[in-house]
Amino acid sequence: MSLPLADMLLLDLATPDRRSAAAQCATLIRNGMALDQLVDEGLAPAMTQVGSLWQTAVWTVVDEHTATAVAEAGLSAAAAECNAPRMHGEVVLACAEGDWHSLPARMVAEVLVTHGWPVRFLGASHPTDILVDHLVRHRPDAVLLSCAVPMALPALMRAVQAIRALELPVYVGGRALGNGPRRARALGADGWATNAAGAVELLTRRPRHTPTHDVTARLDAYRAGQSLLSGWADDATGALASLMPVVDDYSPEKRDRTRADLAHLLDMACVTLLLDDPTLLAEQCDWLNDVLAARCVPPDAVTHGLTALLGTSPPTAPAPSVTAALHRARQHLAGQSQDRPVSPSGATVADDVRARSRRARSSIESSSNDGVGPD
Amino acid sequence: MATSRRRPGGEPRKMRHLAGLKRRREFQRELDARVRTASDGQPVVMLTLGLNDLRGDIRVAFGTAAGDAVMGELATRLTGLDRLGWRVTRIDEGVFAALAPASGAGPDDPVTRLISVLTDPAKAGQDIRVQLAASVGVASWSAGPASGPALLRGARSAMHTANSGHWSWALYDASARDQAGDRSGPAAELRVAELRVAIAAGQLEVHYQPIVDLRTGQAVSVEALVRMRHPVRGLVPPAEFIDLAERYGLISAVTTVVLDTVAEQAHAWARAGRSLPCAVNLSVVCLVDPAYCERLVTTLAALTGLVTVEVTESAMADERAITVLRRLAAAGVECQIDDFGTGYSCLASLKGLPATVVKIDRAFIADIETDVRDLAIVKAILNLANELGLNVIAEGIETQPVVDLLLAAGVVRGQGYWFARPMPAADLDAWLDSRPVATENRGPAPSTGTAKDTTQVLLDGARALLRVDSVEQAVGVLMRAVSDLGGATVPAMRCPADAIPIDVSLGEADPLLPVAPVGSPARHDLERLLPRLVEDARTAADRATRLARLTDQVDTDPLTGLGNRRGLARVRKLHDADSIAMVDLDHFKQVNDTYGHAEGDRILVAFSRAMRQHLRSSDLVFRLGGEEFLLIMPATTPEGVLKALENLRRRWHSERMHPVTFSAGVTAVEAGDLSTAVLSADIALYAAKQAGRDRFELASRPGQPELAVEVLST
Repeated sequence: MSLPLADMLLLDLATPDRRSAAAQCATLIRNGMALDQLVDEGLAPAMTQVGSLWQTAVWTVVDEHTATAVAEAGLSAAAAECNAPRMHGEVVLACAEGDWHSLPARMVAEVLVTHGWPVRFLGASHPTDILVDHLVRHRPDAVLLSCAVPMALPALMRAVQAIRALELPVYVGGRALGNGPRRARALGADGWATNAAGAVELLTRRPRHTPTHDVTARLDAYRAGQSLLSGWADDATGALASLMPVVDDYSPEKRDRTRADLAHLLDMACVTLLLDDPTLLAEQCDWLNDVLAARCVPPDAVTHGLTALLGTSPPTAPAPSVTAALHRARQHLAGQSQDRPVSPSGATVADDVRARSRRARSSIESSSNDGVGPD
Repeated sequence: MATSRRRPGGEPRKMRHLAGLKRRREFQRELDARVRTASDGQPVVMLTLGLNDLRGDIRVAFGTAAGDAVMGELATRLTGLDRLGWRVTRIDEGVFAALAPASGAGPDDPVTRLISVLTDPAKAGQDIRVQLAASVGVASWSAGPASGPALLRGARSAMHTANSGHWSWALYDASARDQAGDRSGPAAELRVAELRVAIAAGQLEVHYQPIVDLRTGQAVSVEALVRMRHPVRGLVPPAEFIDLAERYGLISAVTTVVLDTVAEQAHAWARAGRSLPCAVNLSVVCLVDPAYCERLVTTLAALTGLVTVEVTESAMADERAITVLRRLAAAGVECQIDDFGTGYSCLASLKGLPATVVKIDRAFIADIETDVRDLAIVKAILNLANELGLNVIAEGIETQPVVDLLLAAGVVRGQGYWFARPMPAADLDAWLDSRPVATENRGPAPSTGTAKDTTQVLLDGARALLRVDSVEQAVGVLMRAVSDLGGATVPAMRCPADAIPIDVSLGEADPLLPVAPVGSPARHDLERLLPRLVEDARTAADRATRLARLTDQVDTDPLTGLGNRRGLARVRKLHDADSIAMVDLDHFKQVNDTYGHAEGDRILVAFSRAMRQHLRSSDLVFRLGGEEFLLIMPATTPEGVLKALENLRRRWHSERMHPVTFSAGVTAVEAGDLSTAVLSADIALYAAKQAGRDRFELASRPGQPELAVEVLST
């Protein structure tokens, strides 16, 4: 019995065995597998599992970095086995400023290359001014921007606007863009894709789209919301102690992290307004709930955080619209808590990796007596 | 002698290992006898050896079997001493007494012998080796009233003095009733033993001396200097042990300790936001040790930007050392020439050396104020260095007037007691914190320590990436860029939470992340510029990998996978000890004509596989075309080649599926000339074919009449 491709690769990522991953990916391509398939059915889902292993605190950031490096090695080895016909004009692909997740974008870049698009991949977190400078000098046929984290969406919006000003087609993709074209439209992009195949289709069709809303006005409103952020988060951190007495016992470091989490929620509320998409804050709350729960933070911490933010809302604009977004998110969480999703049964490789990591960690902890506290 | 007369049955397992040792009573008798007859010329020397709960520790760490294995190995070593005239017995749990042979010259020799026997790590199982920790007490007795038990007590009390939990020793002089360590400068053998103990027991320390910008007094880098912390003599300077370490094969162990310590410290400084490249002195002995230099290159390549290396001029005289230094340079590790001007170096060789910095020896600096000739030499070195694009560091600066003179001459960096002595890392941190913050402009950019202009870094990086022909080199360029932008790289395993999450290892090694203090200009530059440079490096590395594979494909015969004529052109220089053979399948045209070309190809593939399988892995086989092969056998006589071919024939005939035979002409390589050798072998092959095929012929030796072939087989 052979394992599904993604599970097979996940084992290499978990080991972590760079050579094995590289050999395996290269062999698959040599044996006739298309790079699209290796990416869509192997590397991408395996990396999604890596993300969830981190999210559930089974893996540390170090594990995640190491696994990413292994996946990079696999992708490089596979790409080196592929032909790179040059059938179209040059395309530039970059990650939004503040987004350090370059691997998904690189997967798309490598697949595009095999489909005949010479791609200039500019890597993680690309500052808009440097990007614009590059585009002015090289004038590619189209620009693709990738964004995996919602925090980088405002920077992505600025980049999209700058590229539109150069009259170049600009397409966006990545997890932060959600499951539909709504956010891409709000950013002012010409098109949106979820994966490499979608990017191929966009580049073939080259659709153009003119935004109907005033993008500049939204960016100004976002900046105004940002100006409230610091003081509001401070006040809410103080208010949170009355909802969660345990906060009073927090170390200064942990208090800072709590404040940063509240500021993140506010920032996401502002991004929600920027993109006119209430689902964004709801998604972020769910995500934060999972991350905190896995790190032993008391349940309902996010709900309490939202309550604290709502209770300390400043009277000035655009606070009321931010408040409305926070309110909707709290309602969403209240609905969620009644029917929390049950984890699916049936052991998978990810479960196995998870169980092994837990065992290894608990044995280390019991010997070093250095348990991981809530963080 | 060594074996006890009766092996006691039913003893606990731990005792069985020690069955070979002297019984306590026998030992006591011999000790008493020796004490009675002791004289000035024939002192009695006795040692006690305490293993600090060795067995228990090993058992806890690796299991009972491992504990027993170590005790067994220990017993073997101790009984080995017994065979050399020692008397060894176990006097307590984990405590042994050893009576030195009667001919022992003094207390130094026995302790050296014992320590050298016991400091080699013991095998505790598959792939587990443990260092035996012990304390040794030494008691010597030459004349006067004493008894065996008193001597034993003396040795034990000395052992307790020495007992610090690690390898250590102390002396008990029974004659003088004085307990003291040796303060009079021990003999070379004892010092070697001391060094072994120091390495094993972690008694080597690394001190750091800052190298400063003479204009500002700010530290721009540091030099790591090793010291030995002797339990009795205190801090021992390297001059007293480095030379010994080189002569007694311990220098690589010392270097490893220093590199490990420095790596940890350099990472700590990087995490603390200090950009302080650390120079480590490398001995030529390490560089020319083929086994150690591999490890050295790997270790140092992972520390690019954090650690630089210093070698003395003697390294320039050794081609092997230069090769290693070039590899280090290719990996981005900067090399400095230490003590410049004192060796026998030829100035011209400077240009071929992959060095970036020259350190002027203190001998020229000390008297620079009073001796105009020294100043002239310094200026000459500086001119030369400038012409060759090398930076200069002055060593041994001890006064402000010297600083002024050097600055006037154009030297901008130096080290010496005037600024700071070598000191432990903690003291250096305090020293650095106490320095005023530099306010002057930086002046011309030095190669390490301070950040370069960002545009320049990008240009340098892009230019360097055009030239890389391996992933390793591309990583080297990235490391250099990180360092030039004012950051450092840290393995992801040890990275602080605020490391920049971009892997500069290009997947070639464990992930390496750049670090720079949050909010610093260096971090700002790194965050803005590095991702792009990483992608450029990746592109360059991919190109290099593809090119390498293409070259391999071009050099390889696609049918058999053997090298082709083009591959042959890349063969390294041959030596006179090498031999070659031209091998040809007999009547191959008939095979092709009778069975078809597909069958012919199958036979070629099978024969190629047989050659690779039945010849040594160091032998090289090429398919020169058709059914003709060239075999190169390094360090083999022509007769050896004949034997190998004979073996191949036997195997081929036993495995073959076709009645295809082969013939060969064999010759030795002379004056490294492959083409002449191929010609001779070809003539011999022709002779073999003429003589009826399925046979091997040796080519005629020079001076002999041509084609006087020696038929060795039919």
